[in-house]
Amino acid sequence: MSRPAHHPSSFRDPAGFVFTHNDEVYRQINHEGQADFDHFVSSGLYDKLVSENLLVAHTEVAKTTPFGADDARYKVIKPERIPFISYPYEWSFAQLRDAALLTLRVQEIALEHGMILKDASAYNVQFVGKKPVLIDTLSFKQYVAGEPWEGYKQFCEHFLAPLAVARFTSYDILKLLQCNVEGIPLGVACSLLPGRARFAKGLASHLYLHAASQKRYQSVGSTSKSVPAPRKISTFALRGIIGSLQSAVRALRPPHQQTEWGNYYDFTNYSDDAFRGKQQLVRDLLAKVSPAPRIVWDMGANNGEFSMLAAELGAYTVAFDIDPVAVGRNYRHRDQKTDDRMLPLVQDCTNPSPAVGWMGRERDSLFRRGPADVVMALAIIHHLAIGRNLPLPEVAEFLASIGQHVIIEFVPKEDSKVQILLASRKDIFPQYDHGHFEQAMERHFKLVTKQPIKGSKRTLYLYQKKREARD
Amino acid sequence: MHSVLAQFGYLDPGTGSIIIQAVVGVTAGIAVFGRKVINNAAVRARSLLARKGQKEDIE
Repeated sequence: MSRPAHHPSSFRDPAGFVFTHNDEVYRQINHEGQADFDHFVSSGLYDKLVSENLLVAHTEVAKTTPFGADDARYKVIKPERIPFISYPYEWSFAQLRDAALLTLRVQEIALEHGMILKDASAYNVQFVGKKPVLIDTLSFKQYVAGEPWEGYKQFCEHFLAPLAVARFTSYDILKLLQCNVEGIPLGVACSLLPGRARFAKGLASHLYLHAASQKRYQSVGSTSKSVPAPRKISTFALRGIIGSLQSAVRALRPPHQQTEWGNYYDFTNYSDDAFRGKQQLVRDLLAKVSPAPRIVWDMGANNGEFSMLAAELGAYTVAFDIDPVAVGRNYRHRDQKTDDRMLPLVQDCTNPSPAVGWMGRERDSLFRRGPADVVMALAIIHHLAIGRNLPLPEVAEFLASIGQHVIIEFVPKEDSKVQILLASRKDIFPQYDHGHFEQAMERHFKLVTKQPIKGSKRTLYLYQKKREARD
Repeated sequence: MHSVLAQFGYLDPGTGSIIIQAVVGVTAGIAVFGRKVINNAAVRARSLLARKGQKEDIE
């Protein structure tokens, strides 16, 4: 039996923390958070949020569970497990926007129950499939009439500023969240925005005036500036701010931007028959994996066309793609059967998400969140090996580090898509062929089966990872 | 301000952010309240007109 381990991202709140024990996730509520937690439950707020699928549900754990003694402990709860933890810098524009609206909706409901969100971190939201949900049960405190919203600045920096800057510039700006884990500072956001952004709904007040006010009062407490008189914010005004933020966020539409892969499936070189044949092959290979995969990562999933096959078989499927437009399309595509099992995320597999935050451990790297039971790498090998000059043995090693099984499509040089890649450059890839590919893969994997894709020159492989030799 | 700030522990809300909430809050409150009133009135008007239309159809 393992000892309880503090989750490396949960240490800031004196009201409690998340820990893992025997591979299960728990949250400890300290005596410091007792009054707020009790009010949270007794006011009906917890039931209301869970019934509307806005908050992750939890069960209380019997005190006899052996977590060891802790004088600070009031209760331990066990939240429902999130199948895959994702971060705001991996979300598409629409996902960040929905997470922002979720936070504001939760705040609205909390006020109706005499409580208020004490923070508004984007990291408090997770996606279960395509559904955002608040995961921080200890984010609520009892509302005292007249007090301002402590999390207002954080909301603007984590949500409004990145969305606004992306809206007026490019999707790529959302990647800034990876190095600015506390969001985009408002002053920086204002300097990145074009002048016309001042006229967008809510931005003049929540971004520009807000940034100016921050600048003016940033040195309060120093000898040169006087401390402003105390101000109370009425509940009416607080509701106004929330309503105004909701309008501002809703008015932000994705940027008008064409991307390389946004319309990929409109321009594939497959005939309809070959495409359907490939779908059936992928389905067959997925069915061959034993035991049935619980989690599948589709690398280069585009709009999720093939990820859907894994989700339909019951696997929780993370559909990664480098293209934010394709990821956004996948996210917006609604399918009742698979929506709770399909998580589209932006990920560049040639530069996977690193571990970031305090001690480099607060937010896990992509590798730490794996391995997946199955990794699908369909029509991506030529982009890695030729488009990005990655030697085949490196690609094989990467796949072995993230998956127990791999379904991979090899696209040979004769294929028109590879010809396009080689059209404007010298072919310096003499080893890019089936033989070298298989040799590289077999260093880490055992071949289960390989099948040609009818109507194309491509081949689909199913590999199983070799057991690592023990020292 | 110190008495108000003393209530906060978990996050530093930032003095500038508190000031702007006070400045923007009332205006935003009036705008949101006004919008609600207008929306409610529009919904009521629409339902009245619909009912009137139904009555005329029956007659």
